[in-house]
Amino acid sequence: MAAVCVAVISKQNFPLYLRSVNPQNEADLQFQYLVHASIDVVEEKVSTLGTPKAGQDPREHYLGLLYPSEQYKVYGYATNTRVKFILVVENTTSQSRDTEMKMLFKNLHVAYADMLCNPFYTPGQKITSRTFNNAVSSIFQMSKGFTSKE
Amino acid sequence: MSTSLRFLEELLQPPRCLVAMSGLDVRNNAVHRAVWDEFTQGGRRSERKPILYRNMPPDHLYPKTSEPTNYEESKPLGVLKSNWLRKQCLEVPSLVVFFFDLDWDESQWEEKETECASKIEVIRAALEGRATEIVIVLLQTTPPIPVGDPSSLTSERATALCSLCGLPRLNLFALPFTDRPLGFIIRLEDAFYKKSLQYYSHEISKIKAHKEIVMKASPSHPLLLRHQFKIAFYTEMKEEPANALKLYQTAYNHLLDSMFLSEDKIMEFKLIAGFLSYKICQLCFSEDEPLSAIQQFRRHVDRFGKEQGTRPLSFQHHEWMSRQFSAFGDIFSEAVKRGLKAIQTQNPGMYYHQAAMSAIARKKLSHNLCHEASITPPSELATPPETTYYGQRPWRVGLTDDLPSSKEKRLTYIRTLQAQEFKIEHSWLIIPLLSKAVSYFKNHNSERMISHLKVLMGEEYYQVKEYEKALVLLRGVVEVYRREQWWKTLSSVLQTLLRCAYLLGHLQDYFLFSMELISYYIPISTEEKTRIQHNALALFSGQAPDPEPGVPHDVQVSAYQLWADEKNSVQPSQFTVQASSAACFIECKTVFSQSSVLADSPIQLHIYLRSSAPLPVSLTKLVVLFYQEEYNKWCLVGEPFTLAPCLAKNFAFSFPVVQSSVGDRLEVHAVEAVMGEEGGREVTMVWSNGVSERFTSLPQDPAWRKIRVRNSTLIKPRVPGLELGVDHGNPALTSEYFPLCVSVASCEPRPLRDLVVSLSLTDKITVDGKNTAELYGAIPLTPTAHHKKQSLELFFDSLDPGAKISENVFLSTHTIGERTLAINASYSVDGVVREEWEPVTCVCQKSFSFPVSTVKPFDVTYRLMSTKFKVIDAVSFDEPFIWSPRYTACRHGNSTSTTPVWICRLM
Repeated sequence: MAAVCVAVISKQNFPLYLRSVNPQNEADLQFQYLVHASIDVVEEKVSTLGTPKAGQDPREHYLGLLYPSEQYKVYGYATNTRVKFILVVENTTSQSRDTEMKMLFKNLHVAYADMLCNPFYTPGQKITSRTFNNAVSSIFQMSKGFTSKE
Repeated sequence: MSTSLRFLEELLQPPRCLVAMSGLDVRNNAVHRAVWDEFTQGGRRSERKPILYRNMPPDHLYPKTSEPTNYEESKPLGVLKSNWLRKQCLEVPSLVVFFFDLDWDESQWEEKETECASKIEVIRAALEGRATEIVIVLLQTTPPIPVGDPSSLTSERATALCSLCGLPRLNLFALPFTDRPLGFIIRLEDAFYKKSLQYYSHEISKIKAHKEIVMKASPSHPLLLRHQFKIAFYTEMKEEPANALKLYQTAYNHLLDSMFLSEDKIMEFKLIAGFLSYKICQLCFSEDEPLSAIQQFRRHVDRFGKEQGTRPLSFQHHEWMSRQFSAFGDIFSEAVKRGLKAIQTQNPGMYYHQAAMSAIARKKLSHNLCHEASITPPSELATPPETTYYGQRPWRVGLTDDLPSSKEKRLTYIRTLQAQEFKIEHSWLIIPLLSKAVSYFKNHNSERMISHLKVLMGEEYYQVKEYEKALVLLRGVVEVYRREQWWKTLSSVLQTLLRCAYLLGHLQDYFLFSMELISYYIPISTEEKTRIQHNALALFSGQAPDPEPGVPHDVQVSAYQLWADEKNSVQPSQFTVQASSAACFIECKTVFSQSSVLADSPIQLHIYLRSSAPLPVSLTKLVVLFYQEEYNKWCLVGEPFTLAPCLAKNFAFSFPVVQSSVGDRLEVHAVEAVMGEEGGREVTMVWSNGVSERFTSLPQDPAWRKIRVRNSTLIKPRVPGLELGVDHGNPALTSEYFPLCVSVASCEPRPLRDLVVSLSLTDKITVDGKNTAELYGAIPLTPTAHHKKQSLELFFDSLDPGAKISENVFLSTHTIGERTLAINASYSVDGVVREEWEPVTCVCQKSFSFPVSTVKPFDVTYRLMSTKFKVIDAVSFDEPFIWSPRYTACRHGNSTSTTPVWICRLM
């Protein structure tokens, strides 16, 4: 399992941040389309998020697998302010574990919260923070580590 | 061609028992035709059996049986013969029904009997080596013999016929063709079906016996897979879906275990795995286990998805993948039609989407790999031979697994396949898949996914030169990406659109897409933007734009022609574009200086325009339109002006209030800017409400951001310069003509005109439907209804500056209490807003209300007293008493009273 793309999407579904492992690659545009299309499922899942179901933590942010496609798997996560995180993972036959995905998202959430504390950042605008960028790089690294374990 | 990776027609539908009908002349004989129709299309479908009838002449040659194989030593050439399925489904019948016109009381019985027997003999010869049974159905015109009437003739003749034909007595049926043959038909069909099932059971046991032999020889014998497939297929034909499912699953698992994915064999195994997986999924859906079906399919594509096979033919792998997904989509959608509930993340559309993605990957690969082969196609062996096995590589024909392939042959065939592949117009395979996917996602609230699919579809249409269709499709999705500010995707869509508009010679669309592409929001390089703007600006000097990069050369010529025609057309090209709803390169903001403005002060309006294009832009006209049309003449810039890149330009307007709109909110309806010369190409850009859409996800120029939009202002009336007063000595007395002195003094610098002072009673108190108070202009001698008024108006023609006038009016009330009167003065005065403007006539008003209370004029009480001043309540006759009345006058709050004393006596 290796993460290949990380995206942060605002409450109004604006792309705040989208970075793929190889930004120069032409697949970059494909990720844009892929992440945008997966918002459909995020919206659907977020709309049922507030209604607690049996055996489900109402504060759960992790949305699980959104779209399984031949090449990639798309996972989602929504914060309380409905900022969404999307992780695109290479589709390998080995099942990626939810606990690992949750950990990646948790790290991303922390990085996002840190970034948001910057008084010079206007919420709802593109994220250009270098620290956040580094955090995303480390998430890419970390996800590769999961592969080697399996 | 059997190398095709297509799913076979016979595989897609659940198989049915095949029964051949012989001896029916459906073309010339009406009765035969009716019998045939009853069998094939007759009613009562629910009671009918799954049988496929085929009409074959009595001398039809059925496929020959193959030579018995020595399984222990045989080396199979492939997994499954490519004609096997077709043979079982359409050619080898499980039963042959011979129809023969013969009544029991036929006069020439013997001749007919012999004719029948000889035809049966022909059929039997054609079926030699097969276990197919033959039955005879005698078509009879006489009604059936009642049950329990053992007609000796019938029974005798039947036995004789059977023995002559060499058939058991049970294989002879009689069909009396009467008005209602359906009952007979159904009974016959039941009998046929039983015999069919027997045939397939027999076939199964035969193959099982073969399998046993092979198993003994080697548990991993390549023939085992073939046997397992056949057994499963026959079981399915026997309408035993649960058993068939298990058998197919066993076969599939066996295939996974035993396959060896060498370059030569991979496609064969993949194809058979696809067949088996298809069957498993189809049966799972029909057994109402959709989750198992999905699971099986995932497992299938996960296992084989990585097995690309030999690189020069890797496009075949993607074709195979595409077919797997699309076939699964088909069976899934069949299940949905039967009532299965699909969800957003699990619906047939997803599989069609994946099928399309694989097809796109195939297209890319075939472009890369096959280009060379298409230039110099191999001359000899141009068409690969018919392969006898499914998925067999053409260079392996006639070779057993242990024999090596000929290198030369292999290369030639690969080149042939590549050359064939290159000729395929892949887009026409991709588009239907995408459009199927769109139709399913429409049911699942997936606007963004649909947009993505439409983008893919639009790009395919572009590649097959269907520019009009591409334009229509892509134009629809622009809004979705723009609304959510996905600029990168938007710019890629817009670039394709721009190419389409160029190739179609659509001037308006060309400008529209350029207008957005050169704006600040679109993340493309400045050089690219400069190029686009250069082209767009050239339109206004009457030139044709330069071709877009990447446009194929062959279509450029026709595009040149289209632009030349457009230029020479007599009609001037004028059109309007909505700049406010797009991410236009010119942004507009409208600011009224104040949130409200007085009727005699100037309205100040600023229009800010800012271009984010790389080159300066010249505009010829600017117009501001208001919802109140009478203001439209004021805000107009007729002189050409230029917008420098990234620099806001301010247009300030100042204009007087139109007096009819006092009290209204003045609102900007639209700002229009014109590019180009009148008479030539002219574009009007319109910003509704005078404001561009705000896209907040990108940081904006701080100076521009600071400009706060205020596109409406409230027009308030002018402050009146008038002193208005009412003098009165409150309270009034009931029924008194109470004087009210109205005084007006002007403080205006100019004479007042049309001064009207009106006075009215605001609270109408009535007793028995009559007003209890009236106003009078003057005291009437005898008050009539004509004099009584609830409101009064005093007209004064004009009043000079500083002058003061006053007039009396009267109020008469009939009951005590407090009343409120309202006084209002209105007048016109010429106001000067600015020296250079014409004075405006303003209407001013001043009003207030005041209370007037009404009291009784006086009160009279009295006391009776005895002569000794003792209060008494009754007086006696002829006895003096004292009557002491008390008069109280009430005015100004304090009462004065007098109490005279009278000595009286009643006489």
